[in-house]
Amino acid sequence: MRECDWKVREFLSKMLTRVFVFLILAGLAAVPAHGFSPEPADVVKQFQETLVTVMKQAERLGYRGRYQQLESAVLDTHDIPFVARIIIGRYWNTLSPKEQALFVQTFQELSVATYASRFDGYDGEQFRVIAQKPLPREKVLVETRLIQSNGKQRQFNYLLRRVGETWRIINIVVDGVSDLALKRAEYTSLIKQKGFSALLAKMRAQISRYENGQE
Amino acid sequence: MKGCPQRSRCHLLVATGIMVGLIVVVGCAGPPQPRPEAYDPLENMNRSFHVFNTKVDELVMQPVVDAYIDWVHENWRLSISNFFDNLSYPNVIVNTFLQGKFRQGFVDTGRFLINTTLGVGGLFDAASVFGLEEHDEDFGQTLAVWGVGEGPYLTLPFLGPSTMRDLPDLGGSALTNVFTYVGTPVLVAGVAATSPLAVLAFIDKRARADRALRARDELALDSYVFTREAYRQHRTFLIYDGNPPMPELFAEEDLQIFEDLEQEDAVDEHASVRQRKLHEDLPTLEPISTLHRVEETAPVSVKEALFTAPLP
Repeated sequence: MRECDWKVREFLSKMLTRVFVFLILAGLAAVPAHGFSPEPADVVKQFQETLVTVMKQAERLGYRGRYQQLESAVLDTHDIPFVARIIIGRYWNTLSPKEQALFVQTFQELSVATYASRFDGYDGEQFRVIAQKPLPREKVLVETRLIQSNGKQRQFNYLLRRVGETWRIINIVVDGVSDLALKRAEYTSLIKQKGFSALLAKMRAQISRYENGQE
Repeated sequence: MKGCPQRSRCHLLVATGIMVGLIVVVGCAGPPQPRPEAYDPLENMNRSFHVFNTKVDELVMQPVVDAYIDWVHENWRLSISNFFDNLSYPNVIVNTFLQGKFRQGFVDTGRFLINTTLGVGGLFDAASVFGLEEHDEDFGQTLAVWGVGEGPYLTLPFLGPSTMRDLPDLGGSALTNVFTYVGTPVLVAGVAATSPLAVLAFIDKRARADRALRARDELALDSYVFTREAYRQHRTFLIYDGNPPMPELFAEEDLQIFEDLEQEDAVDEHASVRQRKLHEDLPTLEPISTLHRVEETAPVSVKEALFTAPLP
C-alpha cells in the first residue's frame, strides 16, 4: 500500500510540475504577443514619455544628445515617409525616385531636429491620455492633454494609422491646429512658387539653424 | 398704433421679436464646412502687409514686449490680462446670445458680474474659482454659426491675420468694449492710440501672443503661409467651441488617395512613371484653392490614362 501511495504522489508531483511549467511558458508566450501589437494610445504614451524624459534631462543632454534620443523615438512611433508624401501632395509624383528618397530623408532629419530644438527644457508639464476613438479606414484618434504647471491645459490630439502589426502617428493637432495641414500648405506653396530644390535648401537651412542655435 | 399706446415699447418688442426669430432661423443653419484650402485671392497684397507687419513688430513691438515681460512680474501681467479680458467680455456675452447659446450666455453674464465686483474691476478672475469658465466668442464666430462663409483671407496692416467674415467684429468689439464708454478712446489701429491704457492693452495682447509668435519664427518655412493656416484653423477651432469636425478630414481623403496610389504602384511597377508623366502635363500655375480638387481627381484620371492614353 505504501509503495503504491508513493507512486501516486510521484505521479501527481510530476504532473503538477509539468502543468506549472506549461502555464509559465504559456504566460511568457502571451506577454510578448500582447507587447508586439500595442494599442494606438500606447504608442502615443510611449512617445510622450520619451519626450518628457528628454525634456527633464534637456540641459545635460544638449542638442546632440536630445537629437539622438528623439531620433529613435520618432522613428519608432511616427510614419515619417507617409507624412512626407502627404505634405507635398501632388508634387510627390513630379519627383524622381532619388529626389523622393532625398526629401523623405531631409524631412525626417528636420522633424527630429524640430523636436530636439523645441523641447529644450522642463517646466513641470505633464501629458495625459484622455480617449482613443476609432476612425474610418484603419485610423485612430488619440486625444491627450498637455497640462502645464500653471494648470492650463492644451489639446494634443494624435492621428494614427495602422502599419502592419502596429500603429504610427501621422498627424498632431494642437488646439485645433493640424500639423499635417499646416506643413502641407507651406510645403506645396514653397514648391509651387520656388521649386523643389529651393524647398530642400530651406529645410537644410532650418536644420542647421536648429543645430547652431542650440549648442 | 391704437393698440400700442407707447410707441417705443412697441418698437422694442418688434425688434426683439425679429432678433429672436433671426436667431431661431439662423441657429439651424450652422457653420459652413471649413474649407480645406485657403481662399486667398489677395495673396500678393497680403504678403506685402505681412512683411510690413513683421518689420514693425521686429522694430517696435518686440523690444517693448521683451522689456514688459522682463520688468513686469508674471502675476501682474496676469492681472492686466484679466482686466482687459473683463473689459471686453460684454462682446463675448452678446455673441454667445446671438449664437443661441442661452445657458452659456447667462453663465457668461454671471462671470462678468462676479469679476467686475469680487474680482476688483476684473483684475482677478474670481469667477473661475466658482467654476464659471471663460469662453471665447466674437462676431466673426457668430457670423460663422449663422452660416456665413469665411470669405477671402486678409492681412491687415498693424492688426495681422483676418478674413472678410472676421472684419465686422473689429467694429463690434469696440462697441461692446467697456473701454469705449468710460471716456477712453479706443483706436482700432492701436498704434495711433494716445491713451496709456490703450497702449497697455495693445502690449498685453502682443505679450500674450509672444510664445506663439516665437514658435512660428522657429518653425515656419514660409512665415506667411504658416500664419494664414494657423489663423484659419484656430478660428475653426473657436467657432466649434473646441470640437471642430475633425480638422484632418481633408487629409483623411488624401490618405485614401495615397493608399490607392500605393496599391496602383504595387499592381503596376510603371505606374509611378506614368503618373509622373501625367502630372507633368498639368498646368503648374493653378491657384492654391484648386490644388485640392486636382489631387482629388488625379487618381481617377491616372487610372483612365493607364488604360486609354497611348504611351510613348
